[in-house]
Amino acid sequence: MKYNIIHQLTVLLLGSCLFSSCYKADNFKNTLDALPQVSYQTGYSYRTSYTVGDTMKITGRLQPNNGLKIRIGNEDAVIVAADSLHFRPFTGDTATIFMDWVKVLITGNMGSGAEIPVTITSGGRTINAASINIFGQYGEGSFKKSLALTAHADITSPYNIFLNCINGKGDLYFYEYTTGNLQHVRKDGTIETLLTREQLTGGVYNIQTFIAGGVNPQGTKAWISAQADTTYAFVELDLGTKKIKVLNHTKTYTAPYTGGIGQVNVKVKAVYPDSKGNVFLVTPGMQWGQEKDYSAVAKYNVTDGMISYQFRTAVSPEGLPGVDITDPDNPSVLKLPLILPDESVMYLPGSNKLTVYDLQSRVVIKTLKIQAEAWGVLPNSYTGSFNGIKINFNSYIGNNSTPETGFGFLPRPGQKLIFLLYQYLDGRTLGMGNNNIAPLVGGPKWMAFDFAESRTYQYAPQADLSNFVFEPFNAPGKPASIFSDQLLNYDEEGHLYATANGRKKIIRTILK
Amino acid sequence: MRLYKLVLCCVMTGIFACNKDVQPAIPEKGDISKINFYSSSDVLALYNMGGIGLFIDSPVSKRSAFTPFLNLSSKPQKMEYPMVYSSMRGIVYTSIRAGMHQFRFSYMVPDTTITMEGITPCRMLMDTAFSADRGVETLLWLADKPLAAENQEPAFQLLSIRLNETVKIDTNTVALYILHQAADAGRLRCSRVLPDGRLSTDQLPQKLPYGQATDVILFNIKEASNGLLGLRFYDTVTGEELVNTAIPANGGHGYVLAVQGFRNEHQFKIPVSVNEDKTVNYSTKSLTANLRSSLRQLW
Repeated sequence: MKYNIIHQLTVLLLGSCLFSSCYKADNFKNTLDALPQVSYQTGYSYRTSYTVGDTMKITGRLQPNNGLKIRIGNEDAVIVAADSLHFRPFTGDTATIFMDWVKVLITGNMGSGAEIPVTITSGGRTINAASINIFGQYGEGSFKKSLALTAHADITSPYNIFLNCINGKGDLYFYEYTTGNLQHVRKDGTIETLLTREQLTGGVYNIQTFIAGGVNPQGTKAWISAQADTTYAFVELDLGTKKIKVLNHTKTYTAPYTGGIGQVNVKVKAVYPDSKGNVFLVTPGMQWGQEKDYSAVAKYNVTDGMISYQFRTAVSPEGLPGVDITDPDNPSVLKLPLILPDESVMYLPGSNKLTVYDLQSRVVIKTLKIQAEAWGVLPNSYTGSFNGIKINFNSYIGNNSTPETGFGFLPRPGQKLIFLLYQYLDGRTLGMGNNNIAPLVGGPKWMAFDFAESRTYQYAPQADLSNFVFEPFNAPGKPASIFSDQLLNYDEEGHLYATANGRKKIIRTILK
Repeated sequence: MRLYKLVLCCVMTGIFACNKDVQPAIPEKGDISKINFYSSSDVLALYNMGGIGLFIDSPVSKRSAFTPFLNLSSKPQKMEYPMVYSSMRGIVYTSIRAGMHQFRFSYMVPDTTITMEGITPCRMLMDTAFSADRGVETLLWLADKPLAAENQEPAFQLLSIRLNETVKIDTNTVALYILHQAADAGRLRCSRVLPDGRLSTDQLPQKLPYGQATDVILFNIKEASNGLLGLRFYDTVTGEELVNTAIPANGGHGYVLAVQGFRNEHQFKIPVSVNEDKTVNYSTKSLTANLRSSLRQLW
């Protein structure tokens, strides 16, 4: 009996010991349970970037009925939907943990830019969740009004060849096919002859075919490439003194490839001069006995007269130096790169892909792969962070894109590319017949790729193309032109200059 | 007697049931050194059996006798200890008592013919002593050693970088260490690409031999082009360009750039299976030329 009492007392004592010592720990567990939590696991985490107007889905232990408040930047977010889901963190996991999700609207008042804080309050406790980037519809240099097109200058032939010069001052330069003159279209639309046919050759070679050229951003010098009677000629033009200098004659494209410009063999297919005395050149390659237009990027240093190679590909001649930029997805293809030499940037077009290189250090800055929207879905998710956008390019991007989807791709300072999106969008992808359904997704629209901020933004709300079209593409009742239009330059106001209607017109944008 | 037992039991329960304060254990009263182990060997990637066991003469921490192990039978192979896959993010260090330590890296083979994981030590790859100083962070690499001849069993070398604890950098500066791990590349000459395209050899090694690392090199991020500081590595003798690379101009951060891989193709004798009598079968495997640079972020 005595033993029984002792036993009972001891059990009581033991029990009370357990309770008292566990009280604090238990209480702490309750505290932890009450804390809101956010899941950042793949498939559950919210994105890092949003555009104003997006909805953001937050998943976690949120307890929407326990005074949930979500504050993003400067504003309490409006919860537009809430529910719970079975949380299955791993494939094959049969656990049935419930998690809450809520959807909130992203507004412009929350703030803009990177690292906008997200705080979540639930059950009277607040945590800091991962911050997000909020971008507006617009970006640097965007127009707030729609843009229309107007005829800028008259040209006579679609065979004219435009020289590269993206100087942001609205200047256009072209080799006039009918006269053989080098022409300059001023920003006001008047045309002056810079060099006549005779001045262009200086009597020292003949131009059989004008291949390519480029003017430096100051507009003082140009470099051109032409097929002469028996050679390929690379010529420097002084636009002020009208003097020319043939830098190189190449008969056969063989080694030596590097060295003094007069000693090497070089064929030039595209010319991109910078403002500091470098001229970047795109040179051809060979594959299965056939010449490929583009294979390598060379640098001609005007000061010391030396030519060296920055990039090469699998179709470049053997022994040609440079960093190999062969696209493993399409090893025998090099599309014409888009180069903005003063920014040391080169955009290399790939199939639904753009790779951005630093021109001087020859390394990749960024790669952008763009998925197409699913069949039957209106492709209107084209504004915002790169990791969320979908555009139906279905082709190479850049000069070789299909212009009904994407036209232009004009490089601008700050790692930006301006392009026209959805000039023509075939309704058949949505079972709507052969109609242009571009207006349903807000097209056509001038857009920008912003590689510095990893997003696209609207360059202007709407593009009115009336009377003009950027070729080549087929639409019902509209055959494609054989001439490819080009977006050529922009000016101080941000207006764009291009050829249109299959190189029969020069147009520029105006405020609508 | 029974009463005492019960009371004792009660007290014990009181103590053990819920120890409400968890005291963080500071190993060796702060007298520790931090070490990170990493494998940069390309030859080990040819292995499909066994693993590399690392044996140290003292436990790496108080709480467990955990031994780093590089599993070669699974892909992707774990390259970093403890349990961190190769990544660009920060580096995880293991704490070890400061002082001189002996490290042994052993190739471990399976103990049966059907399993692939390394259990039994088979061949000592390296036995080396290393002084781990108090408060110092050291990065260790298990790297491929220059070959004596083709078609032999591969050899390895332990390479290290002691981080310079005195270096203080601000948000305008990037810190860089360059480590030469390429066994057959010869001495390296390094140049940097300036924003205008010119090359500069300022601060950079001109005759870096295999196994050697530079001291910390500091770059101003203003000298970057599009957020990148371009670097080129050349053969010191022939001048041939071997590697073109860049580091991010991420101010306030530090990186290790390793030149690694092989300049030419080589043949190696690689263990492929074990027999019933525990002897090991070998096969010749070739490694194609893969000279490159790899970047790890230090902080």
